[in-house]
Amino acid sequence: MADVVAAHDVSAYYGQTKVLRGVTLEIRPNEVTAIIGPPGCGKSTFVRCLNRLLEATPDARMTGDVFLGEQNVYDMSAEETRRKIGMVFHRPNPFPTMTIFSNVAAGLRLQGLRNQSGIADRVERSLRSAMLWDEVKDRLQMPAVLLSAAQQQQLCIARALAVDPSVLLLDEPASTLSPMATLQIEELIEDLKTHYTILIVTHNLQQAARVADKTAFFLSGEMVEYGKTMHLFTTPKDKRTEDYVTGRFG
Amino acid sequence: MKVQPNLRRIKSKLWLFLWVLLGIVAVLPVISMVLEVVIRGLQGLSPVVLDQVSASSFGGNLIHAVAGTIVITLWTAAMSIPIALMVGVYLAEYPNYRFMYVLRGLVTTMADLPAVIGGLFAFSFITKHSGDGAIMFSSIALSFVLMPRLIRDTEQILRTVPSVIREGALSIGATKRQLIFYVLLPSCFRLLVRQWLHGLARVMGETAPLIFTSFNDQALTLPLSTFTFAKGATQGSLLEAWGRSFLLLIFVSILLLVSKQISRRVVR
Repeated sequence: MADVVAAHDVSAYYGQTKVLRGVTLEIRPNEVTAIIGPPGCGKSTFVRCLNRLLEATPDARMTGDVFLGEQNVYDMSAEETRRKIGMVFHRPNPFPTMTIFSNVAAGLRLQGLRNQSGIADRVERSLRSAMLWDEVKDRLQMPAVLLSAAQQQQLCIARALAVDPSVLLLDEPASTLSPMATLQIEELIEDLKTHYTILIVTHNLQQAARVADKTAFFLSGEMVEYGKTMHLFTTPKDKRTEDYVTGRFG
Repeated sequence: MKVQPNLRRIKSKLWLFLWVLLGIVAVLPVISMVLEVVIRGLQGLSPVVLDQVSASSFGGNLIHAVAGTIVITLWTAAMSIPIALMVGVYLAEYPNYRFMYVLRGLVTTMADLPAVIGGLFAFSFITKHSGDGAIMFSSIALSFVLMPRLIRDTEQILRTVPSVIREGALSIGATKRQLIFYVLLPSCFRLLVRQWLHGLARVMGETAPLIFTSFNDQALTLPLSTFTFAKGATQGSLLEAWGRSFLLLIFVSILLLVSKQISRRVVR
């Protein structure tokens, strides 16, 4: 079941440099929320705070609170947080030595699941959710790196879904894909939002306009504006948002 | 300035000729050395020569040297690889600890030290000068030579794994230990094995470290026995030295060929 993700006064630092300045944002379930902003504005850092992946970066730290539903993610282990808040990255990153099947099953096996038929069921369900099952069902033992870039990204989505998250963070998931493949991923996002809370980071304004119900605009580590995508693009409240969405900078 | 097409073609051909010539100059010594070792080595291994020399046998029995080389190489592998793997993983994956700087400095220094110092160091452990421990102490000596190189290789290989792969594993709930054993090491496995075999092929031919630890067993390994026979400087003993060099070349080539085979992509 999809959960609300709420960030309260989240700041992040790389060494002494503050890259995120007290962001407070609530991401509603069964909606797609987009984060837009120029490069270096803290979009990716923010999503890494939500699933505690920032902790894995040397010299990086964050302050503030992140809630998943009612629960503070710092009351859970980092591993549990990351299973519940899945993430897909800007570049498809299937595990290079594993087959298609093993890639999707990886998260389940890491949890200690040994029931082979149970794992096979979950793999199938995840691949179906990622709209990849029909294309790969006859070649599950093929190396995952032999898939096309778009299929690899769908596989990474399936891998994230296999561990049963309630939230999916997509960090520029189509930035390395062709326009056709991008369209495919966007259709998938539309389909997934009925079951998950989805946050997508994108520098592509048109993409945000196409897929997102709500959009947040980040600039220099601050969240400048947040609201319904339609309003943010057509009647922004802040001058900086207007300048960005009309292409005056960025 | 516009260069005439003809002049450009001539210049291009001239440069190409130069590169080919340099290539030949670089490869020629290697080819001639291998040919020399093979031709003279085959003579050195002919039954007549072997019979003559084993009668005087000051450089020792051939089987003894072959067996010694294999056993010492295996012991060296058993001692070096697990430790090098652990230390290499530590250096690559736990970069925030201050001890790491000291360790990396130490490893770099050790890797660049002359091999003979490894032998001297192993020699310092020897308390009882008898033939019993020659294999063990020689393996320790070679491990001092091999281990720092393997540590450095392991660290560098692990660092080549893109950060998106690490993040991919962490994002599905992998612990640091799972990330290392389930994703990173399998991803680098073939590269690691290749470096292990290259390293072993290299130490297999080491002579200097064994001077201290062979306990006067002149035929403990193939390179040591080659050295001993070459010192003999008679026609027969020189041929024996070539014969042993040839065998050493075969062993090293086998290791390198196996490493090439293992380098193929491994998928599970």
